[in-house]
Amino acid sequence: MTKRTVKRVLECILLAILFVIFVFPFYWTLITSVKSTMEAIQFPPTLWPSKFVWSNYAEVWQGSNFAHYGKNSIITSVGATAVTIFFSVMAAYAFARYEFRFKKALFALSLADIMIPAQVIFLPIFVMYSSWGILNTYFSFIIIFIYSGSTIFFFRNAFMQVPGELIEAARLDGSSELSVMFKVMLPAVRPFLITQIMLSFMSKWNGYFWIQTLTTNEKIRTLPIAMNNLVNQTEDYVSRWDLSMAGSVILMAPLLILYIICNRQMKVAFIGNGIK
Amino acid sequence: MSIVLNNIKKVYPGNKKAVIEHLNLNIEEGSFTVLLGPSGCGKTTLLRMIAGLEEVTDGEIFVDDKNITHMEPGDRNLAMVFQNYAIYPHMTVRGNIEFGLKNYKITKEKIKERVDSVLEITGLTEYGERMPNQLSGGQRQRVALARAISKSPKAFLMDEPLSNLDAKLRNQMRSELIQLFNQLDTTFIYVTHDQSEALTMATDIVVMRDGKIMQKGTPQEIYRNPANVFVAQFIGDPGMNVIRLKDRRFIGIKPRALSFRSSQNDRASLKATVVTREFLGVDYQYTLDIGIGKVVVRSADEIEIGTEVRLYFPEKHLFYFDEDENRCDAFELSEMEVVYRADE
Repeated sequence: MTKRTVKRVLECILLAILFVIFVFPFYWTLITSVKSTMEAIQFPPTLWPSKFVWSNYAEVWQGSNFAHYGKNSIITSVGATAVTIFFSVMAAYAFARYEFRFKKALFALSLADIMIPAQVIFLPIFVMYSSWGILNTYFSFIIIFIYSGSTIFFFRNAFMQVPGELIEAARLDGSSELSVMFKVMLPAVRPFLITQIMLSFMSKWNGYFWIQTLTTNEKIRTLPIAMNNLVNQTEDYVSRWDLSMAGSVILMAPLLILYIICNRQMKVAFIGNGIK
Repeated sequence: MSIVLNNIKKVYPGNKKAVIEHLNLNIEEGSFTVLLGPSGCGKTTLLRMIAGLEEVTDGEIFVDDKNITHMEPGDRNLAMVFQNYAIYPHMTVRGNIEFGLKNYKITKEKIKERVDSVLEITGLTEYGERMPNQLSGGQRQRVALARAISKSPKAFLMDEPLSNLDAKLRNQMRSELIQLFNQLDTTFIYVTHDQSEALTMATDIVVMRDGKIMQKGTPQEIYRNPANVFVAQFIGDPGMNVIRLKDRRFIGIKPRALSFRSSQNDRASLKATVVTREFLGVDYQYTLDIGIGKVVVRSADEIEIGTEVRLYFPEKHLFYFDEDENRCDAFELSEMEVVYRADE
């Protein structure tokens, strides 16, 4: 065997291992979600369900009130993502394209947000929101994401790659600043925009901490909380893994679909070569 | 439309030194004015101030007697073509041209009419629905031009628009720009550091250096009658041979005015030694030592390095400059051993 073939074989083995590490849990979730309750906890486990129990999904959807939590998930995730992106874009545009006093200090301060974990500040925020009487509202959960240091940072870098002449051309074309930003700059960084929307949506959709912190009842709680309830749920001292996994699949599905749609744009954003 | 620049000063924020100071310029209506100079001479800054993309620190800019010094770029009714084209990458060719027109609240039918007509003028009719990344450099430049034309501006401002194109395409676009200028009958203000672009296209050339205007005139005036040492050396390929004399004055002669053979007109000559020889295809470029300095000569004659020769030239082709590097009357040349042939 030549050195090259050896290298190739090793590469394949490595990739196969990685494939198993990343894909097997996913496969496991999928098949468990359609197993019967007993087969789901059977040991040794089966790699293919002996009988497909599709009713698990219906049971989860109705039994755990997934429609209610799903609706909350959509409202809060879409709202929070919109707020994060909108305000980050505005701030990033200013950092990338304007000269103003204390610009560097303010930018450094905005980055500090990345380094402060939510666990450090949740208590004062809870007390504050509680005194404003906005706990258990969509508003409280959306407004918490009005500011995101990492998103500002990401957009600022993207905007800085756009040639300045593009902005000047737009200004000569009679565009207002807002029109420059939304009609020229944002479309010019489209792959970045889509990636940020995707990442932001994902973190809100999967988010558990803030929704748990800022709510005291089930009114605006979201799917991850419902999932948690599901996992803790037992029937005659038997864990309902089949239902938990079906819930997981329901939780994952929208993100997977979004990823498949945005996949190409996200690659462009990460590999670069987005703007020419 | 005429543009008048009145005592313009420009200091960039954070800098103490002005890049442009006390600059006065009158750009005549319907002229193809080229701002020419080496990089950093302030020509682009000047253009950008006219466009409104750069603040004017002091002074005033008038367009047709209207003070536009502090007007928004979009309100000046000027169009600009950038070096890197600056066409919107996410819009089709048509979208790029429409974008500006939409901002000016022109009716849909009018917009379509105008876009169609500029696409035709620039030869882009069949590319209207293409995206910019599907176009070649020359086509992108045409889109930028089409976008500018569509606004029917009072003046076209162009910032080195051809410098990103390869040599062949540049020549082609050059003649297309001249045609366009003749066709549109408006004012063109064109920035370049390339003197051949300036000489071929301009009706007026403004030679700049260090934020100052060194000379303004037609290409012929600038080429034949340089006002100072800088212009003399900057214009022409290669520029004029200018030698500093002991009395701090200068004497100049163009490389093509010097010859290795005597002819009817060349009554004067001086001794020289060949120092270098470069083959340029059509002819050679020689550097020769004439004792008080070095001169460049273009000639088809083949002469070895180190050879001692006589350089002949018509006396009337000598240019005289004073201590301040400005043109002056002829003076006695005591340092050079010029031999004059007697009149026949």
